[in-house]
Amino acid sequence: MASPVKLYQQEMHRNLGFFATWLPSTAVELGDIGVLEGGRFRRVGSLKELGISQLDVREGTPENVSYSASAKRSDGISAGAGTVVPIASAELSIQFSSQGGYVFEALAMRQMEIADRLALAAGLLQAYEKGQWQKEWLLVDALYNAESATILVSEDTTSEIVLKASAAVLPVGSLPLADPRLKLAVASSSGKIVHIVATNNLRPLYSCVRVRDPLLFGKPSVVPVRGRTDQTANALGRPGIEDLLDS
Amino acid sequence: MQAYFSHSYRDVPINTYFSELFATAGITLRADQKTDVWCTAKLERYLFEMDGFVSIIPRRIAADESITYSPYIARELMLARRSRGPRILFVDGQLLTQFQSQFPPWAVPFFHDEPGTERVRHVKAIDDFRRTLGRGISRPLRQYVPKRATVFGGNEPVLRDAANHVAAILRSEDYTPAVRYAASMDEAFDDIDVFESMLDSEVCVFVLGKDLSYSDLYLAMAHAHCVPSVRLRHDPAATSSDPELSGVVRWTSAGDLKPQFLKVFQNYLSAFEHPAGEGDLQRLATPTAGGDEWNPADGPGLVAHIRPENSYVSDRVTGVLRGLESQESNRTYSDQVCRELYDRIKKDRFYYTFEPAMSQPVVQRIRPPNEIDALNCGTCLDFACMFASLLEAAHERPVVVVTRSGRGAHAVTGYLAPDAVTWDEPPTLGDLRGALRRGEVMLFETTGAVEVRGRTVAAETETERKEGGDMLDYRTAKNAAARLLLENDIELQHFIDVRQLRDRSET
Repeated sequence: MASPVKLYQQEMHRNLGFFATWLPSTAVELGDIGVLEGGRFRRVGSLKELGISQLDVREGTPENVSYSASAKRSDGISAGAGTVVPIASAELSIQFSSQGGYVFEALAMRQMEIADRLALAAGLLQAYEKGQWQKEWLLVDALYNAESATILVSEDTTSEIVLKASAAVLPVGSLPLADPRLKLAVASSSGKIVHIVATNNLRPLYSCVRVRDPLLFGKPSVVPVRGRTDQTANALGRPGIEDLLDS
Repeated sequence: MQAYFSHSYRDVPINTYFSELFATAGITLRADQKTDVWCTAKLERYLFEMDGFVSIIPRRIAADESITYSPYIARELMLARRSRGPRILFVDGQLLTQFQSQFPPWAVPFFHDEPGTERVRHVKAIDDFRRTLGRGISRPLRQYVPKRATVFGGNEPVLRDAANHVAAILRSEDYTPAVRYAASMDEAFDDIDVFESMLDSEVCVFVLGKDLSYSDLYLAMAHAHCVPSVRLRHDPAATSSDPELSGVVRWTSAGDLKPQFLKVFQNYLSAFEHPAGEGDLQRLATPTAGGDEWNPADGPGLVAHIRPENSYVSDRVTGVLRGLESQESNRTYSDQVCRELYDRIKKDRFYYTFEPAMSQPVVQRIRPPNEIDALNCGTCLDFACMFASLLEAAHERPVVVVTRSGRGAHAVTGYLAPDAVTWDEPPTLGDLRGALRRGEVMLFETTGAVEVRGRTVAAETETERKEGGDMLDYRTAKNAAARLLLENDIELQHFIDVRQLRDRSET
């Protein structure tokens, strides 16, 4: 049976197509080089350390994101995107009914990615041919940065966490769990829950690429496309969720 | 009481509105299943075998965005007027105003967006029509001998041979044909036996030459009396074998006479359908034949239905690329190519139709692009494969995505960005969602480029369809496809990277 962390990562990958950082507070940067181990990205270096020049970064528009599974809020309504829950007090409890149950809420989450993947591929191929690149290495080519996020993952089949807001004024309606102005803090908990509450500048999601093994896929061949070679199509590959879950 | 229902197949909501009014009035409508064969003889036959004629003429938007209407419906109306039987005509109000001289004075208008606005008037018109049918004030039923046919041939040897060939084919279909020729104009005008033979025949076949002849006089008589007639005209220079609007079928040689004749004759023999509601009207609008088979379980097999070399595809792509400045491969250029192709297809004004029922449920038929062009309609999968063909011909990297959800199976198309990093294994739904977020895959709702009236197809909203004039603009089509992939109950059935599959099959 899959571990709670794997269940959370599997769900978040299905939702958004990115790998969920574990622990959620782990720092990940664009251009980080590393390997997948036990569901974590273990950093071994960076593009800069490899001598590959800084590549331009493309940023997306900020969005608020909310996902959950097997989680019930204190008034009996499941926590989920779009659910309006009247606030009776400054506390709310979230009960988890299975391992891997989770709540993921992020404010102003913005995608950041390496803009020129063709230049990236060229740089990595060069490093590969020089013997500087290990075939099991991965490179972080895109990630999400959240201005503030709350991530709760239950590691037990039943667990509960009570959060208390200490802000002077509370909003009417659904309580945004990631809003730092509420000054949410853990009042109590039962069962094992990994919790990150209203933390700033989290990198909760990332994606990565690898250099394809030329023995399996042939020497990265070039495919002319309107006069420009398209090395990316053959040179780099994107690992699937099973690579993370089986690591 | 039953009446022939002359209508535009793609306008299911308008047809449904009127068919319900007729049903309430106790008038059964009979209509022809959409095929790629235009058979005048069949209509001429049923005009006398039914009590009346009902025509609904909605607007159609031409390539230059002007309002027009179907020439085929107009032709049916002309035949009905010539038969002098009871008839009723409803026309889009704006058409009636713009083309007043082309419609009879008894045409009744309707508002295309909400035909029910004038429901009271429509009900009264139908009531009057029903009373006319009920009083039996129709021309008498045509008297003829079933299975008797008269074949008229020209005097040249090739036409005589052809007439006898047609007679042999009719005999094989259990008809009793008589072959006639006219040697002079007097003979054509005065030979009463030939005239009576024509009127007594269930059907006549005219085998004519390229130039007018005395046999054309007989055709004129048959035309005036609305005698069901198949018109075969020998024309060695003909480039199309499809029946013309006038009903004429041009044949070039003795070899292609039989298939040309049989195509029309078999349509003549087929029965009319009786649509009992919106579902039947939708089914009528769906051509039954055509297309090549595809097993929905065989994702990679879809590549065989992506045809960049198809003539319709090359025509469209050549035109679009000619108008674009050649650039280096990048995301912006790929999107520009895709947008131009999308907007070009919108101008062809195809309409969306359902998949025809198959005798074998494990296969689906996919129409190639030139067949979509001929039939003017297609399914989501037809259009997905067509757009993939267009993108591949334009040197982009097309992908086709087949999904399944509560609303059923659906297909959308898009392309991989030039800098996309792909997967070593077929992607999961999560992988695809991530690629969409990174902009490495761009998808769009292909049915947004075709007309869909009165409903939605996939994840687009009714408002979006309405704002697009029953279609979707390119940006909205992209949004709709992205929305589809983000639905909670969506399952990814197939992700077809056309180039990758072709590369693999070559190695």
